[in-house]
Amino acid sequence: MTANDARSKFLLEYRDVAKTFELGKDVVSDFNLRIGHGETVVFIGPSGCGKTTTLRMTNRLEELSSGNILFGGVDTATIDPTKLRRSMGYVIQGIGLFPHMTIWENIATVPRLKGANRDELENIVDSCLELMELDYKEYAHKYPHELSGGQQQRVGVARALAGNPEVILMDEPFGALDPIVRESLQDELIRIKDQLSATIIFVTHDIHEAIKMGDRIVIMKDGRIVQIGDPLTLLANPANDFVRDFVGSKDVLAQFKYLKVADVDTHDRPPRIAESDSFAAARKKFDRRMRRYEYNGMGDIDKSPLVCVCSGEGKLLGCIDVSKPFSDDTPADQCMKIFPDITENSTAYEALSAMIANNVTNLPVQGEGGKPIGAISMTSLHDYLWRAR
Amino acid sequence: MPLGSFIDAFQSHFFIVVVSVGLAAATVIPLGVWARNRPVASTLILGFDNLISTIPSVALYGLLMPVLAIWNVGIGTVPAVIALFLYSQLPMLRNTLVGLRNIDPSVVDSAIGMGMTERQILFKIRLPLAMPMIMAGLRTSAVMGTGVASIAAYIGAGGFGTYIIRGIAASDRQTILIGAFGASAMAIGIDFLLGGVQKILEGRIGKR
Ligand SMILES: Nc1ncnc2c1ncn2[C@@H]1O[C@H](COP(=O)(O)OP(=O)(O)OP(=O)(O)O)[C@@H](O)[C@H]1O
Ligand SMILES: [Mg+2]
Repeated sequence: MTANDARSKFLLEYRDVAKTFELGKDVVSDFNLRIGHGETVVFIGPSGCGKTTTLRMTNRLEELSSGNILFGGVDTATIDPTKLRRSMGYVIQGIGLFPHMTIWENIATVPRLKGANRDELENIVDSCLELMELDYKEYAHKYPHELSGGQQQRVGVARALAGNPEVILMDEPFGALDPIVRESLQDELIRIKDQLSATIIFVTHDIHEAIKMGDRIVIMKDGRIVQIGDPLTLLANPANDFVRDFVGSKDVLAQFKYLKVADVDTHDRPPRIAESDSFAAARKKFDRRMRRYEYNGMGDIDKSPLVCVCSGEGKLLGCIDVSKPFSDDTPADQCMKIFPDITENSTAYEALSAMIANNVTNLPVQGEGGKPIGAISMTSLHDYLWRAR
Repeated sequence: MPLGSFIDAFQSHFFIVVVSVGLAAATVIPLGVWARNRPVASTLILGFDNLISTIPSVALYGLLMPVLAIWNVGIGTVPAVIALFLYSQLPMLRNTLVGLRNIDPSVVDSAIGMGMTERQILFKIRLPLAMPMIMAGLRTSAVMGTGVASIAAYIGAGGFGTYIIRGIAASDRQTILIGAFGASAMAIGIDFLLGGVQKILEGRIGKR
């Protein structure tokens, strides 16, 4: 393997990293981890387990006591620290915005260090603010103390993104926020990271946040890695009681909160009829589908035989349960029921709740433009859960 | 003691204050920057400055006189400037140290984390953030120095102090008042000017 191959494979590689502060106590030890391009890795563990220290070793805010960290295949010890840091965005635990600079100047910091000119800076600040959904006119020329905590956190993230970094290090970026703001910021970060395909290391001590944000989660305790895995693996196969307690896998239903509809095998798209059709058309469509597919074993579909009513553009308007006793000529819009929207990005928990609340055993899954693309059923959730174990 | 014109008194008074406080600022602020993370050095320097300010000004002039007499400048402007230079150090040094040390460490930390060099951090983060404190020290020094400079009239440095001394000697209250008024008006004026400078600097902070 050539050096180039090694470079392209992992963006960051921790090799036997250890850190000891003065008194000889190991704060981090035996830390081995490889992070691929575009991956979001979450460090989680109890307070004092070494998350911040590990993050700070990554951009050389702390020196390693032993081991190496490779960045794009190059040992960070050989990279000029200021250069290294400029290619890594950093959101410090506690935001750390510059109080004497406007939001504009805060965000412009790293690109300015990298030598961007005025016009480029203007563009960068503009697009970063837009990305974080902060209005340029309203906020660009304010000072940090004029913003709410949530807005400051947004600016903190925007500032970390501004240098177009190869990796973003975030230390509890949504720390002291109320749950609602926190969730909306999490959603935004997920959207941004998909958009930028950024590589992120995210520190938190909130397991829900970890499971929501992380492609992979690194569970740490006393400076050591206890388990690395994707959220479901940790939930379904915790390495030991510490992980089990930590991720709360005793709560079976909790897993549904982290399971995306897209992860579950869905059924074929239910039959569709137009708005102008009648109940009889719906039943006919369903019967034909039944004959074609011989829906045996699809008990959930039998129990709630749903037909989608779609608009001219194909958008799902509602569903008709063809087992219900409507007269044949009932117009579609008078016998259809409207269920909560379930998309591939919904959690299994949301899908299950919607099914239970509406007394059905399956629901259509909507794709782009609200078009039905499949169906999720209680059976498919059950199957998934038991397969994962 | 000759009683010159009001304008002369103003000029010599102003000269002494501006030169000595200006020199003190030019030496002490960099000194504070250097000493901010050197506890031993800053304790020693602060101790020395503290000691100086415990010496009554008249006594300091007296102590400087024989030393400076060697170069034939025992009286007049030179000892006045030197004494005032020494006096005005303490408030500026103390404020510079406090201002630099009270910066939220997380702000400096994120500056380092963003890849600023030590020098960029000093000029773009530390000094701008400590600036209000440093300016406050400078203003204290200047106001205090304007008062102390009055006493320099005893060693023939001129200034508004000559009015005061002459007035006391002649039990002439009006002359005393002229001197006192001149000195305090100058103190207020200098403070006002420096306040304006501070405003301008604060408005400009961070904007490159
Ligand atoms: N500069 C330092 N000198 C000495 N010990 C330190 C230093 N920084 C951190 N430590 C110690 O290292 C351990 C790990 O600290 P670290 O900040 O990495 O924890 P953490 O996992 O980020 O915790 P939290 O969730 O509370 O932020 C702690 O016991 C801490 O006291
Ligand atoms: Mg921490």
